[in-house]
Amino acid sequence: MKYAEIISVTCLAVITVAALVFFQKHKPIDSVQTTKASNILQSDIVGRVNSTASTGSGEKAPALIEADSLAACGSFLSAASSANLNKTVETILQQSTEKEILELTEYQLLTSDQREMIVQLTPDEEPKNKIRVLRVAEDGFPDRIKNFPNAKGSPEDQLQGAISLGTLQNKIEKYSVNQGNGIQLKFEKSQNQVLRINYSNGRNQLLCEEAKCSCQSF
Amino acid sequence: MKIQIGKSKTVLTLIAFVAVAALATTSKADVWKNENQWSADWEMKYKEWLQTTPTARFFSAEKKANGSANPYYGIRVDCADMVYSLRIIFSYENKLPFAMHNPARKSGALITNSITRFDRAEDGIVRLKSFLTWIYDIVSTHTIPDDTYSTGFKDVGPGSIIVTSKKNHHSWTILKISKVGNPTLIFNSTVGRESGFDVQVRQSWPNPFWIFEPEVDATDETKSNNIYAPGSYAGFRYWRPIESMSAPESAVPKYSEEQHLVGISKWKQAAQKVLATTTETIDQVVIRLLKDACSDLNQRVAAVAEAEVYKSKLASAVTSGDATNQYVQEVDQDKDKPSDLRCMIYKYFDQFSTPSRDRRLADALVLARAYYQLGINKQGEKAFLAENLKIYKTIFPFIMKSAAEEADLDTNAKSANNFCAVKLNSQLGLISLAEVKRQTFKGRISSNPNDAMSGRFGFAKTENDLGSICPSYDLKPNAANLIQTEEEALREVSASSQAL
Repeated sequence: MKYAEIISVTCLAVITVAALVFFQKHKPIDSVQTTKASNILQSDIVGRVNSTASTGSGEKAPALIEADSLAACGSFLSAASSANLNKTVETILQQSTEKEILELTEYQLLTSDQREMIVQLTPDEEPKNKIRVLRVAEDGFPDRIKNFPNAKGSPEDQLQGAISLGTLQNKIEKYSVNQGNGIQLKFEKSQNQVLRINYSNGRNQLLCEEAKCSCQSF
Repeated sequence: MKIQIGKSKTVLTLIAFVAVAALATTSKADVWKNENQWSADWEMKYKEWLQTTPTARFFSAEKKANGSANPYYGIRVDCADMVYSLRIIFSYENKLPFAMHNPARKSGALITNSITRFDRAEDGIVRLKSFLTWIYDIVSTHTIPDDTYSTGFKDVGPGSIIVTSKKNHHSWTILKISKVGNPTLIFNSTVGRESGFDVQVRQSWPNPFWIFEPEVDATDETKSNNIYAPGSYAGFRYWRPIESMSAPESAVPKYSEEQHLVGISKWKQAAQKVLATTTETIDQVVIRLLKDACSDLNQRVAAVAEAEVYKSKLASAVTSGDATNQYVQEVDQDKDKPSDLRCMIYKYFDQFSTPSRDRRLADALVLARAYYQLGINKQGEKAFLAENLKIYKTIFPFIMKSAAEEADLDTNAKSANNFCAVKLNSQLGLISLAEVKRQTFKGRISSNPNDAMSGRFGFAKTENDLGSICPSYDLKPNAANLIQTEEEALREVSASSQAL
């Protein structure tokens, strides 16, 4: 019996240590996974949109931006009152004298071991940074991968080689428009669909991601 | 027996407790812990530190001035790395927070000094260097605008960053401002295996036309996008306050678009007017610009020499048949390698070519000439000290002509024994700035690293100058269309002439 006590305490110590080592290597994926899965917007959410309207045909309707819940942004939101993100960007661009500039093209890949990888193509960047391959680690932060197929080739070859590292999940084009007076629009498109909007006039900021929009004042 | 078992239980329980405690303390180790918070006072201390501490040997001196070991010795940086390093190192030394956006998830969690992925590295400098090495891999000139904001002229000073358009992908940090409003900049250029750990420090203004050079349109290479406009990412910038990292740039306190409204040709003068406490004479401007050009020339000679060292090492390894040599292996693995193994592969061609550097040198010479011409036109030779005038007449013998006309008329090779004579190598000897100017104006300076030292500096080509037979990849003929460069310089000179 007494030896049993010794053994049980020893086992407790071993189990405790083993559990700690296990959890060090496999951290609970709470905010990290959320960050990876939905690209959480950093700003505080002031108002949220009810995004579940149905058209009756079974298709999901575009999100509605309820002006009341976004009253903090006042008339700034008039451009965003039309719900559909493509339309929202179109409306803003119609009011702008500047054209959108393609800042970055991002290829989101999934590797064979289910790791997320991002290939970024930046136009006009210096050669060593024109194609950047970033593997997203478990903590959500990137590790730069410098050895990939065709890494020493032309930018076109590098891009092909980088994309071959995984299965393409999404190709996103990131645009920006500066209108002056602190007004700036940034938006992201994939297959001609606007996925994200970040529109600001220095006092208010409209953030839209897929079916959700929010606005806050500064 | 009972006592022994009891003691064993106690010891084992203690071991379990200690193991838990040990793992707990090592499992969430920040790069450094915050003990202070950024404030106006700390920003002032950052500016003071910049004025006294970083030098060209910040990473290359094994010992500090006080004789103690330099903890940052051996760190190798490019221009964007240098910008981030200064802020990070000051933050580390003073236990202040550092934050930047995640290049893979700009709207996601910030990268800060609280990141725990380096907790296996030894606390202190070792962990800091691991953090820095990781940061260098993921930042570039392109990421700097996300972590900074555009400032007004009155807020320019030590700590301000100057970022160029993506076309020229370069950045500098201002260390100090002189009484006449000229910045001392710290930066770095080429980084490679052959580069030492020195960084560059120079007192001068970058060419604003180079800073705001239009980008090539990504969707149509025949078009370019003007980036000199309110809201632009290029120009003067400063680090975002931690509490404003999420805010739109224009909501950051002290955000200003004024630098993007005055006009590119007036940008420098507008800043200098705010920053200067005394006015430079025309003579002081000209000699400063020529000293800048001399500094550029010295750095260019070093850069070209580095390329020659690489070529020499590669040639030796190829001749000796050493397949294990790292340079040989790199060439072998490059599927686009040139058929003539004397030619550089793309990686080294890009590293050793000097189009931007050569452009800066040409700009400095043309601008110096424009101010010299202004002085002659406004005040005659009495605008200049006699010893300076002698230098100017040697370098610019046809000052009343245009730069292009002078290029045609200036046919006599200049003596090596005058202002700013720099040694090229034992075979070619010295070259003076006057001769470099003559070759530059004639378009004979080669940015192509496949050319030998002779070709790089405009001497008659030899069999070692391979620039015309090797691939030149995307190297665009550089130097400056002389006429266009002179037009830009004259616009700038005209804008400042009333102040001089």
